Amino acid sequence: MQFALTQEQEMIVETARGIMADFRPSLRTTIDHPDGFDRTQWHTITAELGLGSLALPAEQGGAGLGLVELSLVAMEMGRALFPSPFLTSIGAALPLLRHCGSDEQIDRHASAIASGDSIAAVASGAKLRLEGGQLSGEALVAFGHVADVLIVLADGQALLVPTGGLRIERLTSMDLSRPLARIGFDGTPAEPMRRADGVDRALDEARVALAAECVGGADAALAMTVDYSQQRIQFGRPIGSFQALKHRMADMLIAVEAARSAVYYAAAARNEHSVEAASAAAIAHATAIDTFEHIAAGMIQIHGGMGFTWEHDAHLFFKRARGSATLFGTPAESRARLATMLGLDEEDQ
Amino acid sequence: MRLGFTPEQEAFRREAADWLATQMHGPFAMLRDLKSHSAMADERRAWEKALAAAGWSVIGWPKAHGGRGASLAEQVIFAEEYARAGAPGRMSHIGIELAGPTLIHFGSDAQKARFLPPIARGEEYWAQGYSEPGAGSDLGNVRTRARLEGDEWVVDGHKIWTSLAQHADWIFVLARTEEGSRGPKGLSFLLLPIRQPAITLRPIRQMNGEAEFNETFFDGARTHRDNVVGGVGNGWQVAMGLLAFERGVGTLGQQMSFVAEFEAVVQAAKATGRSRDPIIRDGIARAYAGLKIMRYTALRTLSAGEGHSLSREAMTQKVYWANWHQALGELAMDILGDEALVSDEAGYAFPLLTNLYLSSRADTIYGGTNQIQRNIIAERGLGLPREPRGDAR
Repeated sequence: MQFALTQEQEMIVETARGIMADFRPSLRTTIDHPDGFDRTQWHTITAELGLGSLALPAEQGGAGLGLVELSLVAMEMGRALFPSPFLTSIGAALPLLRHCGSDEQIDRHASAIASGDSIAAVASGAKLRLEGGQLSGEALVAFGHVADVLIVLADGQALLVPTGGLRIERLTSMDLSRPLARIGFDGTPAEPMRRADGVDRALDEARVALAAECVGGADAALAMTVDYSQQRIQFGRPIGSFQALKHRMADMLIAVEAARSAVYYAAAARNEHSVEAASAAAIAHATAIDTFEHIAAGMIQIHGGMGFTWEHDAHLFFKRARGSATLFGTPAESRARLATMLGLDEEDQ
Repeated sequence: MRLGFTPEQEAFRREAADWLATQMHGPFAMLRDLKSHSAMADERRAWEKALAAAGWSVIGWPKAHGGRGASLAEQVIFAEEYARAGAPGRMSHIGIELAGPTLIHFGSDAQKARFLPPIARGEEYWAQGYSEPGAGSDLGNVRTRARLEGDEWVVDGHKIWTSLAQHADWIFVLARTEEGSRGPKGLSFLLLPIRQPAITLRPIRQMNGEAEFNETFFDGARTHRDNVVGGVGNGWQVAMGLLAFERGVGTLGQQMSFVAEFEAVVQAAKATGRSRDPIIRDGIARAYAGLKIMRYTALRTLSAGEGHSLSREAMTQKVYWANWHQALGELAMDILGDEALVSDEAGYAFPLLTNLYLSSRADTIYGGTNQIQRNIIAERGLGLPREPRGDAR
């Protein structure tokens, strides 16, 4: 058993961390851009570094690695609050296409999405209806305003919809680093993907990647908080020497390490086709999102008044955590699936 | 990153599981699923000897001292199978997990030759004499004194929370051997035969009705002057080394008994129909997530390899499992309702889940309280400033 990163995986982490550190200083200018991301940076991580095709099989032009590697990259992006459609396009839409689409549909879209040439987004929600192969209603879609193609989840089906001609409006979004657009459908023709049974599996993969991103964000938020508590002097002592704060930060570390364990395991379980893959994904998703919200809240509290300002980055973490909590379902929904997997719906013997 | 154990480790697991199952369904069936830590003492002694005879008593010890030199992974596998088989709490655990490793690390050759073989053979049992009424979390505040009189140490003082002392032959004691010393200085680690008239035990009944602990009074108790470990005045260093052993493998194998308790909670939810209550369902899902995460984190710690200093994630485990265990007890009470409040047995003995609810209050206290653990995590894991020490002793 080797439940630790391999040398190759460590190298992926190093590469991703390096490039994210380069991009980090431009965070504020990037989120102020109308697109909400930087196309030069996008080109660097996809076309140049190939981070978008890590988990794509070799026969589809990818690196043939898996969810562990993708999650490690997402973790580094989360650490830097990197604003980009990576998680939605590469982390969610691509597995939906691969697990639900026909060979022809995969051929048509997968390599373009993986290479960053095409940006895909995922639209779902209770307001969408599918009748006679036509979509109506509307959905909030992360990075929907820059998407070339949509994967729409409606009536238990996955469908492909090009974005040309749709009503798309980028909205003022609470989560500044992952903005939402409202997309409206008015009897829009949609191309069905045949394998509806792939939806759950693909969403599990997307939730694990999101959980990894949240662990990265939580880790960075905790590190910044610990640093600040050692700089800030009150009553003649660093505030990090007060037990009330030490214990809160200790609890934050306990939560981060638990969430990290859950993400590693869920990603490895998927790579190894374990029977635990679905339950481990639900555990990772619920735990990592709750953890990120809890830690981002602690970050603001421990930074005091500074943590409440627009200038400090604490609110960016807090808002990213909340945006993540509804992106691919909620933590409570993951726990509800877990309860069903545990057999709580079965009658007592 | 790779899940699952190696074929060699799986073979080791089967060997352990087969032997344990044979014993627990054969000669030692009366001990299977025994929850009490103090009942059936004679049978438990026989069980320790059977473990020793088959080479399973001290698998983590080096071969030179009668062990198997088992890896951390193998020790965890054995602990898992031990719990899965329903084998009883080890009467010898203080000798095997604390006294033995301490002697192996700090003891003289003569001490190793005298004390290790009877522990390995399941013939001599040990108790731990650390805490005192005035020295709990602040262990350095020990007041028990020892002075040399001819060839013997003479010990006077008062220890508390001495588990299993009623079954022990020997006790190791942290005592002040330097007159007028304070704090961690001037302490020595002494070994005393516990059955002597100058040592008196008083059982302490716990809130769950059991009496696992004792108070131990020393009124001129004696031991040979050679029975000091690590040198006179070095007791603190020896004691701290021992605490590191205590936080090692011991906690990793308990996962399996947690699994059994979790399954009992699920069963209770189904039996009472509370499994349809969304709040209970959410609580059960949270408990399951925590149960699995404890295992995932233990696997990370194991994979980090042997001999590493305690990693950040390993430091977090004590608080994590203690809080989890208490929350599971509370969830069980919510599921069982007023039925949890009564027992068919006399003498304040309760079934598994009520006992879990009561006994788990100790989990956040012993082995370093949650507050002490958070200090350790903050200071060693996050690098935050150390707690200021008061001068008043």
